[in-house]
Amino acid sequence: MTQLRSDLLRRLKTQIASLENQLAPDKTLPDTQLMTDCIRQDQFCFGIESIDRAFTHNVMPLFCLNEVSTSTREAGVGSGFLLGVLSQLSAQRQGPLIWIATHKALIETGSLYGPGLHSFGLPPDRLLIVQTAKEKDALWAAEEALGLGDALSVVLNLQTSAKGLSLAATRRLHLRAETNRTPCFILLAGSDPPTPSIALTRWQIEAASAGTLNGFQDGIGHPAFTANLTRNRQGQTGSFTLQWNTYHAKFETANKQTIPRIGTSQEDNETVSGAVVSLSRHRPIGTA
Amino acid sequence: MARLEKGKHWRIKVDDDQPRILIASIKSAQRIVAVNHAAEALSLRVGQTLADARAQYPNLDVVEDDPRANAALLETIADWANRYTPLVALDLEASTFDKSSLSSRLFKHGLIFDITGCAHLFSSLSNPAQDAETIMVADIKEKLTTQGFMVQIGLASTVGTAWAVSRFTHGKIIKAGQEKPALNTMPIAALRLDPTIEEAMHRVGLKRIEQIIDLPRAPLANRFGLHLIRNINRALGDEEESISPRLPVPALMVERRFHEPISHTTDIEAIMRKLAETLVVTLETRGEAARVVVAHLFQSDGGVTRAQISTAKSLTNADAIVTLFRDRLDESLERFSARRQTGADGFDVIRLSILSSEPHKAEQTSFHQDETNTLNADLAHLIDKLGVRLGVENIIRLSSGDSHQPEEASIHHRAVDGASNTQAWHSPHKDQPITRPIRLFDQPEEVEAIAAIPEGPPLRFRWRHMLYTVSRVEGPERISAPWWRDKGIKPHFTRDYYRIEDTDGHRFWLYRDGLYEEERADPKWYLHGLFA
Repeated sequence: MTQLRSDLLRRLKTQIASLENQLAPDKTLPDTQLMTDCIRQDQFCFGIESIDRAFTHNVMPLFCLNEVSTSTREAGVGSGFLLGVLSQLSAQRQGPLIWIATHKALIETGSLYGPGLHSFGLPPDRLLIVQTAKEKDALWAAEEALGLGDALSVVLNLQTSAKGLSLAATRRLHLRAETNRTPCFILLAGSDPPTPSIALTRWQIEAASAGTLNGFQDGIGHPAFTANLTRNRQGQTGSFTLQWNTYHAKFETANKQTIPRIGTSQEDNETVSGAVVSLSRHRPIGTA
Repeated sequence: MARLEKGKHWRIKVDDDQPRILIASIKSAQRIVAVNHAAEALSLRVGQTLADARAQYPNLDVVEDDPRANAALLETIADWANRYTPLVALDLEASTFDKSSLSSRLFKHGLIFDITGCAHLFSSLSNPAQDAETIMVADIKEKLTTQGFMVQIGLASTVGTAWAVSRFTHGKIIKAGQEKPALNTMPIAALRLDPTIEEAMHRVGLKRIEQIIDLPRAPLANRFGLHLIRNINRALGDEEESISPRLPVPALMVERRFHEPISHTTDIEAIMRKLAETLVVTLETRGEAARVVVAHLFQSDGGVTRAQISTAKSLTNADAIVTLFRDRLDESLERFSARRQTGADGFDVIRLSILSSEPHKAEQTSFHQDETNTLNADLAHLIDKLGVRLGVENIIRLSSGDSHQPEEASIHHRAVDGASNTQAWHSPHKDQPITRPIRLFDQPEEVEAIAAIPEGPPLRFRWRHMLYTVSRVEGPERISAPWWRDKGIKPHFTRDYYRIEDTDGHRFWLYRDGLYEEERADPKWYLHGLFA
């Protein structure tokens, strides 16, 4: 597609969108060309060129199944990445955010905390938490919730050891998300190898050093993530470092920064971290 | 009122010719608490010691009494008995379990039915001359006997008299006003007396009720206590006595009985729909809508299936009620049909009752559908549906709590109860960083932390077997429990919260529980939440 044609297409899409009142009245079209596609309900764009370019149409499809996974100790970061996407979505979509989790997952990774969500940019009043004892029930609840059709999103929060997440189960979720035009996310925490899934994308989120606020070096600023897009059925994979800007409720590119460490010398750190043996997350499947 | 005496070994088919006794240790000896017919014929008596009985008959079948199993059995019978009246009370006091008194244990296993307004449902069309109450009593007796119980039933218009009649005369029905003559011939034990009082009265030669019933009350009360007077008055109906039903009494109840038990799911559903329609019409005339609905399915062999639904939005149509029950009953019906292979019978009574309802304003349905309204209705329906299967306490909404204590700043409440959030969430200042984590552990997890100085921030800590080296710290944010909290039960220490980033970029919320040296010599560290 030539540059000229794609430009023309974008302009036409914008016109159609404004005709169909899909644009919120108080919003003007974003400046960058990439952002123009984001006005559509079924698409999400990060507003970061490198990430958006990874997708075929420069946007992440929403009415499908997307997967976010982290290790248990990075559950906060993984949830943060997902909540960033959701809170950006919450401005353009109506309805409740239905968060379905097994008791076990909530005990392992903590339950959602209202004040934290609020300051993060996601209105806690829109949250409906569904706790289940069994994974089977969680899957059932997710399918039921997707049937509502008017939810902001349905999130299935499980552990990576979840047995119930089979190809068939994820396909059911995917189909329901598609037919009911509702974004569906699976948030997995744990160290087990990924289960087969037909999710359109799989994001592996790792922690990254937070930015600073107003140049204050010692302060912890906007939360940052390393997002590894390890699967993308509509584009390319890649690894990105981004941060969540709480005030503007949007993602930004994060700058790699070196943070002065306190209290202990560099060598000290190294000896300490040398003592901890942890398996790499990227180890091949089956070599546990 | 009716009272049932149960046979103890109804599940085990044994021939009754073998003498069998039930024993328990009472007054530091193993004594007989129950005998079967064969044992009775051998003139073994309740209260005899086991050693005594064994000496007479060495090959007695001796079984240890199990009060808890008895109580559980009585509960199941009570469930079953709900088919006769919603008001069923257990006549089973705590003293059953204390093994000190023999006579009270013997008489305390019983069920009390309040059949006010229920008996006429049993009146027979073929024989109108026959009393409805007689038919009902006969029906109860027949059904329980076929299930293998020994039953003694008494019916009277006061609880006290019914109690006495069921235990001392077999199967009598005492009409209102006939209480006194009925009681006269009975022993004083029929007055539900404390064993000590009974003994005291025996000692002065008072053995039958007619001896005391006309005596002046004041000296009697002086001598034997007010308890006696109250029981006499209650038995005669001079003083009100109410029973406490096991299950909440429904505001509204409809049921259908079948001559032939039904067992097909579709039939049951059709009946449920009919019942629900009847309920809805009644509710509508009252201007109410259902919030909590209970279904009882009575099996003809005695089993009872009970399902309860409570809803977020009050129910005004029969379809909604049936749909909610469908999910709920599916499982038990499956179990039931599995059992049916082994010969279990169908259901002979189906009942739908409304435990709680609320005033309901009829809504004008317009051609122009309000979008937010339908969304809310859909969501309420989803919440109900999830709640029915997963339990209403598992469908949660968050609301902000007016507290500085982190655990209390976010309140979980049941979504079925509707939005109760009146308070706005605290918004951080524009230039403030995020100070609260997005995930909070319900139970803060203890970590081993090393700090440079005891009251300073941690340098390193170990959480879930992993070591983290702190790279940046913000804090402390000091949060202490409100001073008006009772410190006696569980001490609340002042917590110093730190926001921490480790060298890999993980962000945690840690706190030190207690001020160093001021509150605790060696304060512990806890990890309370995870930041994004």
